[in-house]
Amino acid sequence: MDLSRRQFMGVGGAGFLAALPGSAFGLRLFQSAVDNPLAHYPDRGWEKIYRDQYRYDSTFSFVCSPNDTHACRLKAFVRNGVALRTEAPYEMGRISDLYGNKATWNWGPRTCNKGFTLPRRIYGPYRLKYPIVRAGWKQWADDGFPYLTPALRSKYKFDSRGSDRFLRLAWPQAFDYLAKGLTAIAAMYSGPDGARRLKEEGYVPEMIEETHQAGTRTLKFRGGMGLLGVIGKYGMYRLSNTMALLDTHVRGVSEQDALGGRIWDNYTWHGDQAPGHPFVHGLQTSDVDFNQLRFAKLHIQTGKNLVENKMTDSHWFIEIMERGGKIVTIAPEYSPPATKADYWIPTRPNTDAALWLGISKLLIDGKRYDETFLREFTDFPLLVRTDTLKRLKAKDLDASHACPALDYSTSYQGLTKEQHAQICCPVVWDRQAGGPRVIHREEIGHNFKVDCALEGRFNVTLADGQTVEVLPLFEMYKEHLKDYDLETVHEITHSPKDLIERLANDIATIKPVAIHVGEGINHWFHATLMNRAEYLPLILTGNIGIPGSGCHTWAGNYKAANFQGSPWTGKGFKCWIAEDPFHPNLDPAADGKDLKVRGTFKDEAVAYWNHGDKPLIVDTPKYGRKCFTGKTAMPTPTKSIFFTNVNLINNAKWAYEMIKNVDPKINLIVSVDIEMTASVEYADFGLPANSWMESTAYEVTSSCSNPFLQIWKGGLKPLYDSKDDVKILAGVAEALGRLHGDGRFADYWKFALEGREEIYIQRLMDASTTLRGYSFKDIMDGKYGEPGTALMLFRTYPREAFWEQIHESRPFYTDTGRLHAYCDIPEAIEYGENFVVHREGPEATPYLPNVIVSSNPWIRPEDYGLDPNDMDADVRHVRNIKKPWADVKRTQNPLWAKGYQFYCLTPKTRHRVHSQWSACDWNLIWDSNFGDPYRHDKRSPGVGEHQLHVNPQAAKDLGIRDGDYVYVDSNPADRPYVGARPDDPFYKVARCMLRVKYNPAYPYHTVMMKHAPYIATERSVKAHESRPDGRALSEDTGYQANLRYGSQQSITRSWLMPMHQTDSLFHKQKVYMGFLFGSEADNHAINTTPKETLVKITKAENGGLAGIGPWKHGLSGFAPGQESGDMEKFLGGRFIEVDHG
Amino acid sequence: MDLQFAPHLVEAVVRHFVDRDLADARATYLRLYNDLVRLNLDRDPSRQESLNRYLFLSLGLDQPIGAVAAEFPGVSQEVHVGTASRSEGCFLVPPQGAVLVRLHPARFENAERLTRFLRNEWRHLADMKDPAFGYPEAPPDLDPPSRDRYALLWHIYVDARTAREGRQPMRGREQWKEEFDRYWAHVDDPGLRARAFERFWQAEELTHPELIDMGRDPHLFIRRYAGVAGDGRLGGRCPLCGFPTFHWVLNGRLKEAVAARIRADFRHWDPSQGACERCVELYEIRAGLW
Repeated sequence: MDLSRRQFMGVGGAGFLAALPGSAFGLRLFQSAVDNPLAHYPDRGWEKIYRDQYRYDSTFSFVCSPNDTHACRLKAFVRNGVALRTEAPYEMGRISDLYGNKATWNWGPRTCNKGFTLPRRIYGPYRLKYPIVRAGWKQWADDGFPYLTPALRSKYKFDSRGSDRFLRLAWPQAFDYLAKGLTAIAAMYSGPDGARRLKEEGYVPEMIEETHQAGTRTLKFRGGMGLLGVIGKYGMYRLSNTMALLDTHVRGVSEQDALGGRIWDNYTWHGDQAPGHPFVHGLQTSDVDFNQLRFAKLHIQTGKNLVENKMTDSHWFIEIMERGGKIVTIAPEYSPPATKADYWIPTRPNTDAALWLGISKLLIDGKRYDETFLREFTDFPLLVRTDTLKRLKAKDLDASHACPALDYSTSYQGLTKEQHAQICCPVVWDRQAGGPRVIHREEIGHNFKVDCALEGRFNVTLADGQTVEVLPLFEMYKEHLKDYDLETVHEITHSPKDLIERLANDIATIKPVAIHVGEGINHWFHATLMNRAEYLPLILTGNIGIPGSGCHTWAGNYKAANFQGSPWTGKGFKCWIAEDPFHPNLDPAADGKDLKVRGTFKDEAVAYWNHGDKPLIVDTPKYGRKCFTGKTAMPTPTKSIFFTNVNLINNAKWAYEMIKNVDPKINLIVSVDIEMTASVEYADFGLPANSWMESTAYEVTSSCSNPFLQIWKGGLKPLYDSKDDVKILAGVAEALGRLHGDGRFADYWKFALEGREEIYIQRLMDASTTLRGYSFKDIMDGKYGEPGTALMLFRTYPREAFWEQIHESRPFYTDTGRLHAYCDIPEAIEYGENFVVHREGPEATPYLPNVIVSSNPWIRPEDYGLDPNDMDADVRHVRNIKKPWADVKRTQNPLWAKGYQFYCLTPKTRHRVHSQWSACDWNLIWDSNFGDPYRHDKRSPGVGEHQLHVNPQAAKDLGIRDGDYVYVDSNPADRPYVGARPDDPFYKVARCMLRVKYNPAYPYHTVMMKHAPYIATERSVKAHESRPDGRALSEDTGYQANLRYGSQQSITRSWLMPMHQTDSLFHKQKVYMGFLFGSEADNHAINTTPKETLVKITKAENGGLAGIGPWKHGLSGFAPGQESGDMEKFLGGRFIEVDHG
Repeated sequence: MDLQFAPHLVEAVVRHFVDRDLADARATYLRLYNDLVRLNLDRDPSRQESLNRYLFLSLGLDQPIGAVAAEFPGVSQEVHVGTASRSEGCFLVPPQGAVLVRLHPARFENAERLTRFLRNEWRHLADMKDPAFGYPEAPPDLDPPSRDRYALLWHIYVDARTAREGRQPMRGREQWKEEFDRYWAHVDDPGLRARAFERFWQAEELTHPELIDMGRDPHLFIRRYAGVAGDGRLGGRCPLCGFPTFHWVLNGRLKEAVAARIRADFRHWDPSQGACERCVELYEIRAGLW
């Protein structure tokens, strides 16, 4: 029955009156009972029930620590042992550091809708309640772990995990099975036999070689965004280090030769890094505390949504308005921050590099740059050879040149002698001397005294006698930017010319300027170039290192670097994850600085697993088989995955390819989580962890966007048979020790097994530059504010990136010590990315995929002889074709021609944190226009429904009405998975179907689907199609999918950006004061690119109830894109007409 | 009206009736036949044919054909009725345009049903002779599913007009709707199917090319008669992936190489069933056409 309110009231009223003996009777009775309600009121005792809603027996504080960078410390109110609600904290202003510095009160209150609904997750029906093992895996174990031939993989359902069943285990059983499993797998792939097996299983030689014949190297461990709980989550890497002990038993090697497992990256695999940052300044990421935002006078958000995705701290951005700052938003869509902006610059997705290059050209052409800053802090004066395209180095001029000793670089920044010799000294053109002048990396800021040329062409004679032309980079950029005149940039980006000029003018005239970069940028294949381009205007105008300036990005609480190690404090973060497993310090009072550290593990990008468990290797016509994955980044074959605090499979780009074609080759998948996720459904083990409110062990976290150190434990007794993360890890290690009769396993986890995790936390603090001097006891006693809190010991409050560089003239973390607009590593020159340049995406473009838009003679990319028409994805990765825009715009991406004409943006929703809260009913109801607690339309997978935002006109042109179900398909060559057959039941699971919502904020060729909903699985689809109520609620696991079919990941695939895999990029180590060349996880590694796709949208079902007719809410006249006459009148402000006559 | 019955048909009909009634001594035809035998009318074999004709006519078995032919005077004044070896039906015989009727003997058992059948057939002939209908000189070349749909639609068009004239059609609306539902089962929405059928049942002045087109493209039919909005693409389930779709690729647009690839995986699939755009793309890739 579909009664309107008016009808209901009418019927109900009549029925009620009819039930009374006489309607007047009740009225007469009331009047006689209470003559004066104010003087005589009936019993009000009932009101106590309502007031008592807020009564509580006790409170406790804990940290709501999802992957959102905020880490809000919440207060939970408990009654009868149940946490009824949470409340935001108000104590931030009391938090101080060792020296008495205090945080500003403006930090509080801090929380968001997720924090408030957290109890619904804790007490919700989707918790993982006890350890479970997949029946097929257990059978494999019980059969003695026979080598898994294809037939046995089928027998034990490794290739059909999604249809196997789970069995309950007791914790000791689970630990024992895992110990045996890890041992069996390590043994299976160790030694020559192991290498042979890997070869027979199809792994490439480069990967096999990387195992060094240690089967433990095939064991992958991932502490999901471990900073969220350093002990329990990052503890996963300590477990990986434990595998070196296992290796001594499996291979019988000495402790010196023993190798641990592989540790998988987080930040970069999520695509959250701004991967261009290390290329510019050498740091993993430039970010600042959020309270630094308000100092900006010109605040630019590019691909960033501080309104929706930084909810707790978005007020800092709002404060810019109060302080008179100007706000600019750059995004394809009219986004929430665009509504707050002074102006919004719409862009074609994936073209931001061109925009910034155009702005840079306007600044240079107008001579609106800071010449002094360029000379003192940047590589613009450094000479570049036109023959090799490399920077002119001292050794080019004098083969016997010896770099001078550099104190700060070595003693503070950790530059080694070998590294120093390798990077050599750059050269400028000395205008006074009229010749080249060698400088070193500490000649920066006021330490740089040379009157050097920024412009001009010069010839120099090299040590070998040849003469080569060299140019200051600035001169080269003037030539380079000729390709990015205003008209061209407008054509490339679709941004209005007047707004491009306006922004250039604002950057030139307003200071400080800050650019805040989001995943609207970082999730593209060419994010590296876009990030480098974002820096150009800031470098040109000297907007670095002063409050309110800089180019920053925060996404994901990635910053293990907060626990920074140094020669003067100890190994910092590494003393927890990489303490020497053979020599653990068992003295509870030991200083963290004294711990012996040895990382037996090796870091690795998850992206290679995500690429079919292989590196990027392409058969090229010119050079044959060519590997584009650097040796420093080379993965090993993946035979076991052990992860915690991450919905790894759900959130994997190309998830269904992983499930269908990759994971069947993996012998063990273990998911530690608090809820039943798709990752658990496709795992061999599901191990239930305690939630943040139930943790019985101390945990510690900090943040990349605030200055707080926070330690906590939960205040609720665990509801189910779950354990603290660290206890799970320690339990596995202890079981390995039992299995091998080796007490060292337990020793390595001694204090966790004893429930004294605070010892590890104290050591972590002792050994970190940011925490040395704090004592755990003082912090927990409330010496620095609310018990469990303290300020990290940063150089400035608010923390300001590159403050030392600018104010104390210290070198940046690059080889030249300067900010880089140029990259002369061999890979960059080969790929045509030595200059910051605009490239069309390898897939998300209407034009020739991956084309370099340039006519610059100093960009000389290698095309490897690859056919421009070849649409193989790996080929598109590496095909470097250079063309000026006039030629590019005449090309066409064949996919575009086939109707794949929509960019698909996949931002985070404000109602969930990635996939967390995806099973929380309230958040799901809020999350889309189709939330419905009553599920009137039984097609809905649950109380929520995922949706695709589409421009109304685009939808109408496709015959799609508001609310219709549509398919969102991308390149059929490999998605949703390679080899998809229409009659494969899994194909039905994997194809994305969801609802359309008209949204005029999106331009015609751009659609938006929020990322990381709970994906459809084989079980959920079966449930959806067989349950009378249609819910996508798995029968035996209780997993609740957010989509009927497929997921956001149906349209994504892996892209292994070659520039993320170099062996030669010189940059700062992540968690220790030192440098490295090449890859490091989360630092210089594959930053994944879920947006690099084009989609086609086709109608699947009508939006009306049960598929009949249109979705009625779309026809209300109030819905965007379908406004009634009255609504249009209202929107146009024509409801009131003023008669001026 | 020149109505001629082939002797072998008449004999076959008479024998059919006699044989059918052998088990029942009181049956009309058997009694009559036995009476005639008693009158020795059958002693002369040369009179057997006369006996058969006598019986045929005295039983009024010729009347339905004459009556129906009279309903359609414009079709032809010359009707030849013979035995159907396989398919029954009425055919126009060039050059004079005589009507050739081929029937199974059993068809004569029920005069009313025969009449309805013939009426359906004769209206087909009337359409064919109507220049506005546009029946071609050579029969259309259609694949079997398309031919079946085309035939069904023409039958419905014929019987719908008969029904509107107040005469008994070969099949009533409900019967045709059941048949139609089977052929258009890929249309998920029963309301859509019903709406299309109802509108078609009222259709006037259709042409043969239109029927051909709608037979070839079942979605065209729905577009035309279901009043589907926009570009009117029809929702139904793809025979390959089973997903509902509004985006069909039908045999006219299917490349042979792609169809061959599909058939390799789906033995019972016929190009006339079409497939959703996505499935066709998947097979275009396999066929190297992407």
